[in-house]
Amino acid sequence: MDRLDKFFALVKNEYIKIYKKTSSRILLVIFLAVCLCFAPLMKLINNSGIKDYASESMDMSDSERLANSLKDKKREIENSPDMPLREEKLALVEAVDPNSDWQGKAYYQGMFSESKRELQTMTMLCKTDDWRGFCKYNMENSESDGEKWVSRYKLEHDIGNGEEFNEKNALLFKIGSALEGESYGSLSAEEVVAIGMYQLEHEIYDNTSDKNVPLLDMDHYEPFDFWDVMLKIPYVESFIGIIMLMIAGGIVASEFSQGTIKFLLISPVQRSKILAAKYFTVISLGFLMMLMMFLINIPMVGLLFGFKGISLPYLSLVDGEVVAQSTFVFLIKNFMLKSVQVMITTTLAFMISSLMRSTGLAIVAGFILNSIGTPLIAIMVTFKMDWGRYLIFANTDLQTIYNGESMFPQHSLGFAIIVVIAHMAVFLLTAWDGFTRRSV
Amino acid sequence: MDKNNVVLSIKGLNKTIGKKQILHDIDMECYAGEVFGFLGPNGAGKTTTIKTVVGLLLLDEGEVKVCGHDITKEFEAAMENVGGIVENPEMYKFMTGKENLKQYARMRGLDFSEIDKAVEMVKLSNRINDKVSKYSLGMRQRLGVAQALMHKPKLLILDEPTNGLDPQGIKELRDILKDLAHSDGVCVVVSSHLMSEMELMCDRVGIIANGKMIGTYTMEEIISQSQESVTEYTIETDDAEKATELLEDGENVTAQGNMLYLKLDNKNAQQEIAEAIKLMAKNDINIYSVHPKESKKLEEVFIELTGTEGDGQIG
Repeated sequence: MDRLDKFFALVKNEYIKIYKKTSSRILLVIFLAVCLCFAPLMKLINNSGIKDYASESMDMSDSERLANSLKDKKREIENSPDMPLREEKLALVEAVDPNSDWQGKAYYQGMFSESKRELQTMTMLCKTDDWRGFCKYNMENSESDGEKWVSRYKLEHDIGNGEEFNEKNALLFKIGSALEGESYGSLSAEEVVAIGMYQLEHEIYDNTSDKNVPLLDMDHYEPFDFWDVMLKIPYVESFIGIIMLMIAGGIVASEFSQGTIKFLLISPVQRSKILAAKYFTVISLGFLMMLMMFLINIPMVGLLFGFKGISLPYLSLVDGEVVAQSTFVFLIKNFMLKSVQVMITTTLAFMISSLMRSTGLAIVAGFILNSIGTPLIAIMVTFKMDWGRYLIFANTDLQTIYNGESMFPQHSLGFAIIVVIAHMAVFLLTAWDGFTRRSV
Repeated sequence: MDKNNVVLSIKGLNKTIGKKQILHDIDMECYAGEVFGFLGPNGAGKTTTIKTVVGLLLLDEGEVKVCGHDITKEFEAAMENVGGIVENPEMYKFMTGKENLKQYARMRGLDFSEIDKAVEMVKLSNRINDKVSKYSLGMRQRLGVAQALMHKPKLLILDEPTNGLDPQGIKELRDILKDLAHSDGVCVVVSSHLMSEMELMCDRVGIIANGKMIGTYTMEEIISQSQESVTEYTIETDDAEKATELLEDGENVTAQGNMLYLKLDNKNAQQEIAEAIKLMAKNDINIYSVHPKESKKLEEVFIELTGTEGDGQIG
């Protein structure tokens, strides 16, 4: 207990030193600013996106747009006497009721098909307002497996096109396009299908799995909800990595450049303990920052985007089975996976710091090593240098590896964790060896 | 000084940095209750020796014990008893003096009340809440001393502690160190390249040159070494030749112009010079001045000691 007290006294010293330094105070202010500005910035992007979209569509409803399109088409047909299938097309245009919730689809399908039979069928279906007939026709005749499947499902489960079916139809549409091999956000087509089926079965029409996309891939024309924004926070975590790189880069080297290392070492505390206290300080500070980022943003995001959908589950495909988990749990897991990256960056900078006498040099070296990683791995992948997978840089992004999106084939999370642990051990041993035997 | 209470003992200490051997078989003992001066020209190995003792450098060979604890085997136990400043007293400039001392107190597990006592001792109370970046070198030196003696070490090692202090500060530091040694029984080791400074402060000195220990001497030994058995007097007179004839009875007398040089044995030099003056006065020789040649300065002894042993540069 006494030893632990002594250790924490050293850690406290380190925290005080970091806090009292102007440079780290500036970093802290920047960090807080990023934390606080994240939600407002997202709101700003979202608002401008929505505004752009709104100006494009000119505030028209679907039926108004359809009615306009029908009018345009009619004029076009009347003005072009040589158009093939002119009569049939005109009949379809006239048969479509713009206020119907499904006939628009039939209209476009017929108009684009250029087949007489299809045009006549669509005209007939619209005249009788027979959405079941439309489904049946597509089930039997569509060239797309997705369309066939959706139509059958709608018929079998008697899912119409009214407002009450909006959620179901959106989900069916998503599954349909996935069956055609279309991926969705960061999810593969297979994942979308499996998750969609699970949702249909359990009557969960919304989940957060498709909200987990990188910051720049977001569809910002739709209003964001709570999870849309919260799930982006792990992507901002690498910013904490940069702050930690600067703090860790200075924590040992600055003692040498200030000359205070003598003050620190002329003491009954063994060097390895001093180093351990410094390492504990940077790692705990990193985690503290991540926690702060999380805690500050829950109310911030809630305030700006509302808490709607906060209880939605996160569905994911694990070994062929769909697993439902609380989105909170998922986010925390994601955070932890991402924090490994911060930890590796910090440890690397710490190692360099304890081998160098100049703070600036340690930070710059840390930055360079950190930024050559990704391009280096990309080059190795291009030239099929498979041993690149043993490098630390190929294994820092556990989140991507966990999602199975690593650039190396068959790159498992277990393998990545072993590589990471091995590298961290080497970094720390180097730091320890360099620091404890160093002449001052 | 208590010769039975060895606080610092160094035996056969060797240290090579790069290809150059800096220390050759250093042997030295320092006792409780003394101020020990560690003396040598620049580059002789003083700082290297001190750094080894306080654990800043690893030793290659030999044994260093503080209060009986080997510094390599029982580092923590040995270092509990050591306080010190090596080279410049570097502190965290972005913190106040007090905050710096708090860092130190936390590290050593000391009560914060010790801080005020130590600050009082070095007379820094009025500026202790200022940032160290605003301190003068002398104030930083005092803060360093406060830090070094805050935990009441049995061995206090100060490397060139008077650097940057004004004469008043030097005197105060000298008094503090003497008091610590003579009243509290601390073993104070002070390094310097200035003999004159050591003379006022130290009970014993150890002299090092070219990484070799030349010897340890008490201050009395050094002083007596500086004096020769014969004192030479210079007498200014109007008739040096006549005086030479007069005094020509066994004494070593030489004349040169108006000057008369007399070499007298130390044992009864005073009596003999008095008789010589009387004799000359009786014979109507005018005496204008009589000067004994000043004894060799301590600095000269020091240069002699460090210069003869080897070919190193002298600071």
